[in-house]
Amino acid sequence: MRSPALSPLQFEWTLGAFAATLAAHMLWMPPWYALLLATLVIARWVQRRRFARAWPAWIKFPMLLAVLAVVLFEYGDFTDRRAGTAALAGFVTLKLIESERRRDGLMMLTVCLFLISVQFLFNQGILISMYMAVPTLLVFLALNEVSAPPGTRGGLISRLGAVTRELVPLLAITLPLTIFLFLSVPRMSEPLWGSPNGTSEARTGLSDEMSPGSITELLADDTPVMRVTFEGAVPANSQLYWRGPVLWNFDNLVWRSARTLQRQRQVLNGPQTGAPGDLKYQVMLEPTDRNWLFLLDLPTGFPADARRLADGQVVRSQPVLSHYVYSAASDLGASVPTGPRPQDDVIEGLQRRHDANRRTESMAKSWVAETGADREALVLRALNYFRNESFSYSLAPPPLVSADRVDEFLFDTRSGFCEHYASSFVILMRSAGVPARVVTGYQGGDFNRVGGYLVVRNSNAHAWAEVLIDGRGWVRVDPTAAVSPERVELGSASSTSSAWIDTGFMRSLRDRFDALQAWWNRAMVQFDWAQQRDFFGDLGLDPSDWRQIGAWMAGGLGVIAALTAAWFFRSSHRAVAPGERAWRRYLARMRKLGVLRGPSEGALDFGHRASAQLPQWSEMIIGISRAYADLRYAPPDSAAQARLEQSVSQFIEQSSASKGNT
Amino acid sequence: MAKSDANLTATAHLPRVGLGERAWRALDRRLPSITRRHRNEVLPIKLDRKRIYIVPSGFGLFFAVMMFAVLAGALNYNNNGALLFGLLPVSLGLISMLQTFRNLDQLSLVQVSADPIFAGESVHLEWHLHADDGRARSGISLKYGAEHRHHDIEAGQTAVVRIALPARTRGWLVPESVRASTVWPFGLFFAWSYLHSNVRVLVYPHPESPKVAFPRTPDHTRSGGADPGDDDLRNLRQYVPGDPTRMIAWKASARTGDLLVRELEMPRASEMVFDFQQISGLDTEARLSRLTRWVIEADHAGMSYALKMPDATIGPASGGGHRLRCLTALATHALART
Repeated sequence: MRSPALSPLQFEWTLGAFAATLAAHMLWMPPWYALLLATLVIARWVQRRRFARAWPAWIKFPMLLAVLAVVLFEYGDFTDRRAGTAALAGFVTLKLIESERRRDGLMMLTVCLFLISVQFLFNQGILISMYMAVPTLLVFLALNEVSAPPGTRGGLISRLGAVTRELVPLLAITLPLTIFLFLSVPRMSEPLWGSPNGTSEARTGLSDEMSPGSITELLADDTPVMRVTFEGAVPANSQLYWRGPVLWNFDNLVWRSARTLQRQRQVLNGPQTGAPGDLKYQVMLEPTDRNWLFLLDLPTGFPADARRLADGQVVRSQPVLSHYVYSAASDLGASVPTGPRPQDDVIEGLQRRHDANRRTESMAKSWVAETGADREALVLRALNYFRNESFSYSLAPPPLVSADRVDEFLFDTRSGFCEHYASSFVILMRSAGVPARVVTGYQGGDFNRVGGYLVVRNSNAHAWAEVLIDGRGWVRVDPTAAVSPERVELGSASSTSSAWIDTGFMRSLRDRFDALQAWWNRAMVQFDWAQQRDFFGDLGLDPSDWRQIGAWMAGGLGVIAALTAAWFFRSSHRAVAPGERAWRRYLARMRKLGVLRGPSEGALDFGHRASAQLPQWSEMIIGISRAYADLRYAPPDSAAQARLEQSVSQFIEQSSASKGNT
Repeated sequence: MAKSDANLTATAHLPRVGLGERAWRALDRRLPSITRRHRNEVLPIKLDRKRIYIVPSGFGLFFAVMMFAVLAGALNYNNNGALLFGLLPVSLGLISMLQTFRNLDQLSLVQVSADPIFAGESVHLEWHLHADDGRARSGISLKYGAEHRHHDIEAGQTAVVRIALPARTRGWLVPESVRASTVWPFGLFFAWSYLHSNVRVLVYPHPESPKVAFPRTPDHTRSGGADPGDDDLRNLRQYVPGDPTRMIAWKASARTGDLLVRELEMPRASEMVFDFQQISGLDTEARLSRLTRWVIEADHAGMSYALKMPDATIGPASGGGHRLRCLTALATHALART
């Protein structure tokens, strides 16, 4: 049998639910692809209002090719999760333009539920999560409307008043059931297949290279990187250097880490708890798709699956793909020790291209000639140079175009930000024979008074330098602070243009929202295998014993089923046909009077027999039989029930009164 | 003999889906609702959990597969947002099973009615479904044979489901069982129950056509259909409600200003006697057909008549009650007792 046609109403519900689903995906889609799909949906809506017909193949087929072409052009292939989802969204849009029958509608709505879940691969923020309840609700309302047989309405909207009594319990049971399942469904410690990350380019964040402009992008990005709760007071802003990748190699354009070398030279394996006097804190890191953990210098405490490399950076064995919480400790006063072979640090810390930046080199040489090889004196000399010459801090400096970029910056433009200062300072030091390196990471953070934590954002990205001082190890030097001390003392905001957001009401609003987001991340997004173990542990269950977990699940579902059944049986009082109660009362009375109704005796036959046996009530008995027969078999009459009930009451009253007399 | 006949009809109703006869009989015994064996029940029939069956619909299975994929992916990637929004539809879907069931539960078939008709016409059967437990029902479908009807029923109201079916032969027409079903609220589950009331509809024999002249009765003095003169005031009387309009003497009424009807002389000698045995040269059904026509015509003309059947004589009399008795006798003549 052919599936019935979608009524205009059913079609518009389907379209509405899909549009609400698609809207969430448009946030991450390339804008023009989103525009293409939105146009198709609107065009289909307008067309279906005029005539209910699917689009002809000569339109559909080129549209299909267009969707495939756009996805291929944008992503290269379909293996990436973005490409796959974009293609799926495109196919469902094309399904919409040919949806004319109920089965099309039902299929689309089910795929919408799939798309709703897939959305969380891209964004698990609290706002979008709350929003996703909207398409979910719309899908179910649409299912209600589309699955209604022809000529009837689904009722959840059109007859809401009439069906509310059915719906309230539905939701009252659904929500606890969902939450129970959410908490209890066993999480996997590691994925059975694949890995959810498609491309790391998807995430903005610190990279393991520093090329011109790479940090500027981050400085404009207010996305949180991590939230840090300190045990005790928050250290001064000038001590908050969150250590990221250490960069050694400079090719006059890009700074790179010496990654493979550093991996082999790890020196400290986790877990580490740090010394008693160290600063203790807990970090909730947003997903970065990198395996770096950000800790304050010098990291002394970190979790078991992490280790500290020779250059002081702490890395994890796996990339941070979802929210990751770790406890950390740092010794704020300490400098970074050299690697296991200090001579390697010296060699790598001095390498530079000798064919470039001659003016820098000659200035460094002249300083060495004046102050000697005392490294600390050379560092001070360089910092004084930045401080005393006409250097300025600017996020939009004049571009550096020559082959000798350091020369150009130090002697010509003299305007830039951390990336320029750290880079030129390190080259200056290396030219002077002082081993130096660039350290990238984050500096500072905003304290959230509502949540009591420090939030570090991408806009806190920073680059600074470290020089190797004999007897002390690698010592941090921040040349940017020499030029723009407030950048380091007050935090990034004071030197960027978003200062207005940090004042008064806006600030408190932002703090509140961030605290909410942090709570969401902690409670919901990063509830994983380990957290679930703790949850089961808190309940007194042994998480490794599957029988206990199975019993817990069965018990919980049993309780929910029992509550459901309780509601179910209480509210469906065994109702009877109209007038039946009165009729039964009458029969009971007759039984007492000694007249039993035969199992297959009709009401009228019984009436005749009874009136023969009880002639004094004959008239009433016949009347009642008539009334009952009328009510049951005559065309519906609203007064019939009242008539029967009244005559039964009368009969019972009179018959018992007379019985009392005799 | 009669017993084995009944058995035969019971199995004749069984749907054929490749199960062997014995398996069907076993199923018939164990799960009568599935095999429609609930027969001839006394109205009102109230649906309850003993007779409501529920399975996932085809769409429900598709939905389940899709949600399984969502949950597997969400668990594999440890994505709690996806998991939550996968579990929510699953929970809603599971709970909707109860709603689907409750949509049928406690619904009662309070009445099945139809007006008597003649063979060859359509019988308009009406099923009265009543929601008497204070809950409204949505999307209740009734299936009779290949006919489908869909209704919403408000709380405490009765929905009348009308289906016309052809009545080909005279006698008792026993409506087949109807299937009440619903997929409300989300189409994920299909709940159904078969209803088979003891109501049967009497189908009168098909009136012979064209009309055949009334039989000549032996002591017949004047033609029964003769038109008495309007002027013959002796034969007129006051109109009383219920008199056929064709008996009104329009001319006399116009003259006197009162509505007058012709009163036929009905001496016993001129009564019509329609005798089954007297009709020769026709088979039983054709005789019944002719007798039916005569009864209709005689009643229409307001005549008094008697029907002589082989086993009984009805009348002579006239009027609606008599007509009904005569037609019933004709309809049920020589039917196998069931």
